[in-house]
Amino acid sequence: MKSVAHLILRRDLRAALTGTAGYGMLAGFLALTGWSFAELLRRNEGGFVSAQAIWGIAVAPWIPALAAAATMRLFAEERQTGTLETLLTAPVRAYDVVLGKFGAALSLVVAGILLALLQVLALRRVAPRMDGDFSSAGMVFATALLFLQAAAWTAVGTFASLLTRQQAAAGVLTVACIGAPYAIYAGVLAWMPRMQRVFWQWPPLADVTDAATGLFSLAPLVLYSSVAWCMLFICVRLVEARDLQTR
Amino acid sequence: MLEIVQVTRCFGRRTALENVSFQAVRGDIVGILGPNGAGKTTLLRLAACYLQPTRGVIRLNGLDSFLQSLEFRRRMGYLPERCPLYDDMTVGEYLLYRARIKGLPFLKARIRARELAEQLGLGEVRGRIIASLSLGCRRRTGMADALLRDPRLLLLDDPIANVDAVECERIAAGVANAARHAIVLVSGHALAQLGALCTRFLVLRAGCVAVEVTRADLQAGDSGVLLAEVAGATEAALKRVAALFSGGAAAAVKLRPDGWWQLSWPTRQTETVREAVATEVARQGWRLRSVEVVAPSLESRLGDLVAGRAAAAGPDAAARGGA
Repeated sequence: MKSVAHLILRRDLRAALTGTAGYGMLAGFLALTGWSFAELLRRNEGGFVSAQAIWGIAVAPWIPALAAAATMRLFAEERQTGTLETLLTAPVRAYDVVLGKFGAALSLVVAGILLALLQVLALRRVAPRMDGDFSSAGMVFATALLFLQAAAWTAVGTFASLLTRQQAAAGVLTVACIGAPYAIYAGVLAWMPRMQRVFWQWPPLADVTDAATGLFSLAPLVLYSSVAWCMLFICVRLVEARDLQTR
Repeated sequence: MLEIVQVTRCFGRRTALENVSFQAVRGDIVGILGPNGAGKTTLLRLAACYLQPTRGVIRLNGLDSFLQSLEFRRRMGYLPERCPLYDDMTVGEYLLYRARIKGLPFLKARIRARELAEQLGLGEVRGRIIASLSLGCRRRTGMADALLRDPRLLLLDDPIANVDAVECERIAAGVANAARHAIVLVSGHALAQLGALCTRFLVLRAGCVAVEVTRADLQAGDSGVLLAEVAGATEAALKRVAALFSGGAAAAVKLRPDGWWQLSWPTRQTETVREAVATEVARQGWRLRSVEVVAPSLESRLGDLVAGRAAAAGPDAAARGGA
């Protein structure tokens, strides 16, 4: 028998792909990552950064936006339409609900990353001269790290979606939550330029660059999975509290 | 058995429900009435485990709604006020999905969803997208959802609001059917056809139980209005007759446009007062067109209860509510 989380995942995924919004979201993501990749390749012409690292750096900044778009409807829409009331009064466990919804959104984000990967692989066939710059192992590591980041950002989005009834507000909140550390990082660098020696690149991008060049450490694995589990745990507690009505 | 014991629910500083207690057993259909903001929806949400009580306990066959919430919810069906459904699904898909969510295996879920759709007259719309359904069909779909697991407790929040008489009949039939093996709590401002099915009524006012009365009590404490149409008499003479038979109740004498006088006063007796008035009119030599005691409908009595005119609804109602 299928688990409740699986049933919820399938329903939410289907709902996301019923209209044009889901496809539009993926198309927008592909357009932005494709543009970023081409732009970064052009700027790096004759440089030392590998093509797979450039691809990773081109995709990583857009994942929070895709995660925000994929998660903003999860709970916010259900609260707005009232279907959360019927869902939570059915004999389902809070973690089944959260995991099902998180899984549906993560599937969309992962699909976006895989499509972006396909885009690059297709480019290799069209422009065989690029082949020499690519390392398959580097691409696999970079993609794995992007998946980890996707899980973390999607969990943040799921949490944001629980806090409000407005989908747009949930999306903005997700981007703000993920963007706030970047703002702090940029602020620190502006205030103390010497810190640039320690943090020469925004850490999530540095992690992708490292993974793409074969420097795979446990630190990002622990960091991103901790963020994801922590956020999902808070979501489960919030749903268990069953006090969403008052917020 | 459903036990609601001293349940209080606060939203911040506002108390939505205060010390509400009552019990119900299998076969009971409890009508929960009250004006807007009285706490009807909050009470049902608490019983549906959607909200937690700030104080107090809700138990169904010994299962605590908070401590054994999952088991409690397995035995409960709930139709919320707005009847929220997934608009992008068809009726058949929705019922199948909900049956699976509620733990029924695939084949059993299919059979049960089909069975309930037929039972509630949804057979023809099973393949239609929910967004395209009428409000009545949506309500019946929500009701079918609530009945999927043969609940021991069925909670219906204003199930007949804004639906026509035919839909109302269909929903009432569904409630009557479910009540054979379940406790039904049904809320609303007016219960129309559902009122006739209720075995008890609970009137909430400002979060408290204002009146609790059984239907039998409501009908036993019957009071009606005597209406007589007389011609050939003077107003003063009619007032004397009215004073003689009304037993001190406020009587009214008014001239109708067709020249007949209408006498009216509230009375508890029916046959005796009718006969006495007819005899007196004949003795005075006046003409009598009609004399009858009109009993108010159950609906109007419930309306009186909700509006706080408890005395008009029955002699015991106010006393029970106070207790």
